[in-house]
Amino acid sequence: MATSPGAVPFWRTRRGQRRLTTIAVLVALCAGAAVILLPFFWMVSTALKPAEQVYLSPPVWVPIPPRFENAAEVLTRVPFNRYALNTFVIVAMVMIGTLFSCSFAAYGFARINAPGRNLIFMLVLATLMLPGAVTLVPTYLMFNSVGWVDTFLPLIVPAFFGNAFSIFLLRQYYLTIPIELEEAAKIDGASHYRIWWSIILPLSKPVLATIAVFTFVGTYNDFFTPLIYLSNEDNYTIAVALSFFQGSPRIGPQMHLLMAAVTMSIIPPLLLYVAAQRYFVRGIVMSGIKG
Amino acid sequence: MSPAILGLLIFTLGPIVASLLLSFTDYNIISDPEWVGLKNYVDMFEERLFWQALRVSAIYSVVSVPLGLTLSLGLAVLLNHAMRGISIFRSIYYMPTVISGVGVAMLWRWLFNAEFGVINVLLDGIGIEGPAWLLDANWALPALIITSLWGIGGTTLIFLAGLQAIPEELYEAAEIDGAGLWSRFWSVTLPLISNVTFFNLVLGIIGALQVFTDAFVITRGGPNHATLFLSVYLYQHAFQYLNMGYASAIAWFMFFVVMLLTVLVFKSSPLWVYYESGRQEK
Amino acid sequence: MTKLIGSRTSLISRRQFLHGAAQGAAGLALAACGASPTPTAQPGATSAPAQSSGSPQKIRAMMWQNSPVLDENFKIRAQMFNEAHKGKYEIDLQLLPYDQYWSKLDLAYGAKDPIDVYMWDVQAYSHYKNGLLRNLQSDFAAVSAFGDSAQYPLDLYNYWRFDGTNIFGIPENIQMMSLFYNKDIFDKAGIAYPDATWTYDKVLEVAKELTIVENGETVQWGWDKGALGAWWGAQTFGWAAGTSWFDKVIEPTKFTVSDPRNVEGLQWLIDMVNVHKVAPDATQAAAIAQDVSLFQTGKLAMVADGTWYMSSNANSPFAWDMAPLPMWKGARALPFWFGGWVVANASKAPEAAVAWATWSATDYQKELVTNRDWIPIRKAEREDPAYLSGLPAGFKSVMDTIGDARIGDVYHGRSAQLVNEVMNPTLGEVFNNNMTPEAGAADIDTKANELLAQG
Repeated sequence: MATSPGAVPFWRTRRGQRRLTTIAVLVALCAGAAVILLPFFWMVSTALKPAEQVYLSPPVWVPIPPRFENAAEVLTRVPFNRYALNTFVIVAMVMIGTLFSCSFAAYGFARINAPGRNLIFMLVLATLMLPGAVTLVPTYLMFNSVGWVDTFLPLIVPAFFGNAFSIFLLRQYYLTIPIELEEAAKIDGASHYRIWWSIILPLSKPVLATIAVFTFVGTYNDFFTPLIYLSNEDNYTIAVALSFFQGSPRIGPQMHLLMAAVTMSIIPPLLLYVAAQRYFVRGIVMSGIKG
Repeated sequence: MSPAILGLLIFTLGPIVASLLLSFTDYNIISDPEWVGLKNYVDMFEERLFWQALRVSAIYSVVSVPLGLTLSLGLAVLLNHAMRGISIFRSIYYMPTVISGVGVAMLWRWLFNAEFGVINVLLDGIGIEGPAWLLDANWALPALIITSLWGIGGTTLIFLAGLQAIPEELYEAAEIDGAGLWSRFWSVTLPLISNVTFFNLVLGIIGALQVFTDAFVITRGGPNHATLFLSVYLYQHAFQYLNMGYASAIAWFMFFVVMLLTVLVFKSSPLWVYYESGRQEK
Repeated sequence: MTKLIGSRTSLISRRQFLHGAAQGAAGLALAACGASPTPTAQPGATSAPAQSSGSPQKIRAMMWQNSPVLDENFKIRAQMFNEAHKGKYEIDLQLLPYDQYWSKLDLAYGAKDPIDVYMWDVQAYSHYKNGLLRNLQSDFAAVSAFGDSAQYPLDLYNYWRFDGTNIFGIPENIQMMSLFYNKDIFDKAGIAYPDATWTYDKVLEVAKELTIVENGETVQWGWDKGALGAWWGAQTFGWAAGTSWFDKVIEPTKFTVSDPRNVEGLQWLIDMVNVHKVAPDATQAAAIAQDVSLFQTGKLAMVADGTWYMSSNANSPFAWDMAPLPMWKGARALPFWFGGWVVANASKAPEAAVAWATWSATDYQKELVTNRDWIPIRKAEREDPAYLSGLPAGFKSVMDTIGDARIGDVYHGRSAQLVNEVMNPTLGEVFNNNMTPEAGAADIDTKANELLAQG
């Protein structure tokens, strides 16, 4: 078709249409990306300014020379490596716990017809619906009574017993997996554990990758729980360190240092995201659930 | 499924039941609770600020949830377009989500600074005198809605995963039948990602009614209670006014609202949600 | 999930939310900003360590975070204390963001395992009311220096005798209000600097001369109400005129903002904007002052604010100084706040907890001369030439008004609600011209008295 010019203009051809769509998509995405990136730009710009350039009107867009000493100053204020290690331990354990317990529980909710299943599922969902502020006190008292305060346990152990959000996400996903695959296995006498392990898990790599990223982000950024449960500063996490730079009621933050700290704190999750993206976006196509 | 569920019940349901009991008490955390029956629930509806908080949360949810879902679905469709470099865009749009929490809230406070913030500086550049945003009772809530939209990368990602699961052949078949872009979206995409939409809607409602960090960090409920979300009102009573019993009652009120909405969404789901293994759902 | 940002440096409406007890870093940036923290002090410089008979009494202490430099100095202070009391006491000081500070204190009380000693702020009044705070009267009386009014402003301490006779907190620093002015602007106009003789009439007169309008746009303001816009600031007019916003500071029973003498002060503040046009309106001022203060932009000649404001102004690219708060109706009245320590009744090592509090108010005071983190409570240090040399010239004249100071707090089980839910929002409406001062005052009275009636 495309070889007979004049008959149909290029932009009417299928390829032409594709090309046009691509250009339109590109333009829209670029515009949106500019909006998304603007705050980041402003953050980094502020992070690289000397204090006296922060409050200027008109503003300094690109500080020249950039003041990398801000980052250095942040590093002298907090033992970043130590906190990074703590964060890594906590995040890794929470991720492992969440992935295992949730995929297992979600399988139950999606596939096992136990009596009261839907009721329990609603209960699980319900745990999402109550503001954490009011369960904080009972939870704290519970962990306190077993002597877990000032350890990582209150931060890690609950993850091994499921998390409502992830269970919900996985259950929704499992419901879209054709049941025929399992029925064959069932006829062969496979147990639920086996089906979960050898059929469901391999098929759910992309959604597990998604949950992994969500869990990472949620745990990494949570500064409230560590602050409440940890007293020893050596056990703090990166998110807690960030809170050191926010000033007090009477004394505002030093904006350039705060922004430098925020900038530095987003580097690890950003790296993880870039690394994991292959799995949870491209992985979806490869995992063969398409059909 | 039992061990995980059992643990979930202990670690979360236990405290939840405790908070339900506390909602019937006068409890200030620092000393022992005292049973007061339904008093907290009765008081709640007589409090001027409770109604204000309810109003703020309702407006925020009604605006930000549909707006967020629409934008993130649209964005996911764009990001699902096969072209070179698309993964860079995916990374960019998801970036805000990796710095959720206090960091992003502090950043937005700074962006919305009426005089030195980048938003008003840019508006100024195109000849618009920006509002005082966080300091203006009329603009503080819109500012928080804008903040929430910046973080739609998470929902977008879930939509994208849903979109990727749609078999290409369906689109090809539709195209052969002469369906245009719009009608392909309407008749193939929407039904096939309805389960994802459902998921995002439920979580969107829950999330919107519980939004806390942004409201607390950026505006602290002000100015003049313009951003006094239920969650902020609750937090103030729980930890600043030491009315934990009352705060628990508010929480349970919120719980029933969210539950009601969720049940409505669940009940309505057979009408618009399509599951491949749906026949298993009774 | 939560976080605090009470107020960025100068946002008054936020700052007042913070409940009175001013914890500012007075000289922070003046001297300490960027300076390396004081090296750990010489061990055993003070009280001779007891023979280590057994293990030391261990206590937990808590303070909220202010800034990296101040926080670091608090940790150094804890080390110094431990060195000075080796084998006897050992303190573990934790610094938390302001909001989590209270949550954690309350949770510790809830778990019957309280923090032994912690920094006071109005919110802790609830701890007192629930009988959780230690009566420090005998501990206080045991320190002979605390009986010497030449060393400590003992008259002011009565505000911390919540039951009328016994003291429940040990002050270690003080904050007050003053008038800040831009010397460059005064020099340029050839006007003499403000001093202790100034009245608010004089302020108006000079503000008129210092306000510059170009092409219909004000490019320089003569005056801004600053912290006088906070409830405890606006109340000073009533004080000077012989009344106050409520009948008593401790357990008030009635709000009386509608008293014409109180309303007159609000009216004066508003007239400066609307009638005399020498001050920016609330939006103009707040818009600029959201994260940095209007004063620091150099476009403002005078502003009334707390002494903690010194640190914010330190980086200003112009010369500035401070003077006592002006007089109103022939009298001067200003608010002050204490920073100080309270001890949990249920502390298992009250002796060590009390030692930390009294040591902070005595031996440690001299450290404040050099690090200038806080304004020392002890007169010797507060007037030490070495201390004053690093501060604005007018600082001492401001401190000399201490006799006219009253506590800028309200102590009631519902303090936070009175401030957050009633006074702040309504004052905001008044300063935004959405309500007249009379209507605003009446509104505060009605709502506040309603809250008080709830007990």
